[in-house]
Amino acid sequence: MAISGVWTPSEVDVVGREEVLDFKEVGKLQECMQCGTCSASCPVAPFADFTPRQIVNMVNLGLLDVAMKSKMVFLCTTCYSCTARCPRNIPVTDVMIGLRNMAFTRKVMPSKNLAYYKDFSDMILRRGRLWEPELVLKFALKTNPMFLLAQKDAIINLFFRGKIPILPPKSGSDLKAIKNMVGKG
Amino acid sequence: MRVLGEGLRYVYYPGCSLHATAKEYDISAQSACRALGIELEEIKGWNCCGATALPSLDYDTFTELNTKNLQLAAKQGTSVVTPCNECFKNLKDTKKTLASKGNAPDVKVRHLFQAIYEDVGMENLAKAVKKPLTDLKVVSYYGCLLTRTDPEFDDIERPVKLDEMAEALGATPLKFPGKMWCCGGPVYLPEKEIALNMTKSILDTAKSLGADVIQVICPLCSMMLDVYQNQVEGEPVNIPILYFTQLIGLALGLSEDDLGLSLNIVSTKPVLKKLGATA
Repeated sequence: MAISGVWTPSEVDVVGREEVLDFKEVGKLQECMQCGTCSASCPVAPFADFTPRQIVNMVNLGLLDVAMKSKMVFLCTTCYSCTARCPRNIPVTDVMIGLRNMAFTRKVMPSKNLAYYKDFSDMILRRGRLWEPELVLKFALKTNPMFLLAQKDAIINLFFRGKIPILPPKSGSDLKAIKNMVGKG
Repeated sequence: MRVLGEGLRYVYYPGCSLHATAKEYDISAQSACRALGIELEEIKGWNCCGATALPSLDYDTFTELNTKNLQLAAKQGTSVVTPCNECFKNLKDTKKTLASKGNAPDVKVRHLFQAIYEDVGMENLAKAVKKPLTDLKVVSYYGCLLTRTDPEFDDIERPVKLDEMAEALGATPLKFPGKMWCCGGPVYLPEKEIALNMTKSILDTAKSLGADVIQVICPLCSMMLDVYQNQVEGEPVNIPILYFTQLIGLALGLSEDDLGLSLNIVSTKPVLKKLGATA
């Protein structure tokens, strides 16, 4: 029972919260006590706009719009430090992934991230396997061609060791049966 | 003489990197396993696991893709191993998702290091050593996704099993606080500077401890630590980055070619020199 005047997350009618974690338990989120262990463990929080703790709180408050457009969600390396250390077993990393899914569906994903994720996903769903030269080239052309210049040494080093395949890899097995929700976007 | 891993047969999921930028990991994994008597059988028609990109767009498509991978693996055997942390996490997560719905394919998912640790055992590995890695100062870099995906396997904060392996091979493992720090790999394309900043901490810490080599178990970690080592700001650290399979191979007396030691970007010669091999 809620004490009058004190807000608890479950009292608020939060629309769309289930969408963030629809593949995991959303109920767990409400057990967050805002201790900040996740933020202290996060290797990229110092470079972001919000901390993981704030992101979880935003989702609990229904501020999904702010959360899914935050820098934090897209800087996340999915290292799982936050999830591993959370004293309430909240899958914080999955919240980040859920928010990315949401940002993609609602077409508000930052263009740099969209370019990378989309080209990568389209390629593997088409070919079955990743062909890095195509991915890096496309990414550089779409975002910043100077990126390739910074890769000069890496490309030379890899190329002369035969580690950059000139031809695309052997394809995997047929993926036509897979319901591809990405290709249409 | 009985071969150590005799009778061990794994379905092998190499992952995309091992056929390209991490070729030496594939070469050394195959060689080390052969020397240990382990049979690796590559999954026919495996597909990419989706890495971090596909689950970021649509988790359901990602689950479908890896369900297919697990089904293909199950056709060839009951135990699948992968040398890549990201592939390991994605296959294992998908298995968990499917298990919660009660229809997970009957196949055990493990990282290659985990399989060697559990099935061959470090005592047996030590007995098989022909050329101990005497005086080689090794720091073990786990990367994020092995113990955080499977906390049952090793300590989630301060894992020790890779150090045990280094010790079994005759090397000297150093206490390394950076074992579980993230290399930044997954955000390198969109956020290069931030990713390199994270890589720098790992390299600098290993250097300050006087490590001869950083041993890794993931092709993306190696991409950051080895291929991009010279993109990191400041004085060049010049630390060789070796896959754990390359270290095992060296101790088992395998040749440089068998282990692809000329394919690593930062020269591995200082390691060979220290071990007294012909560099």
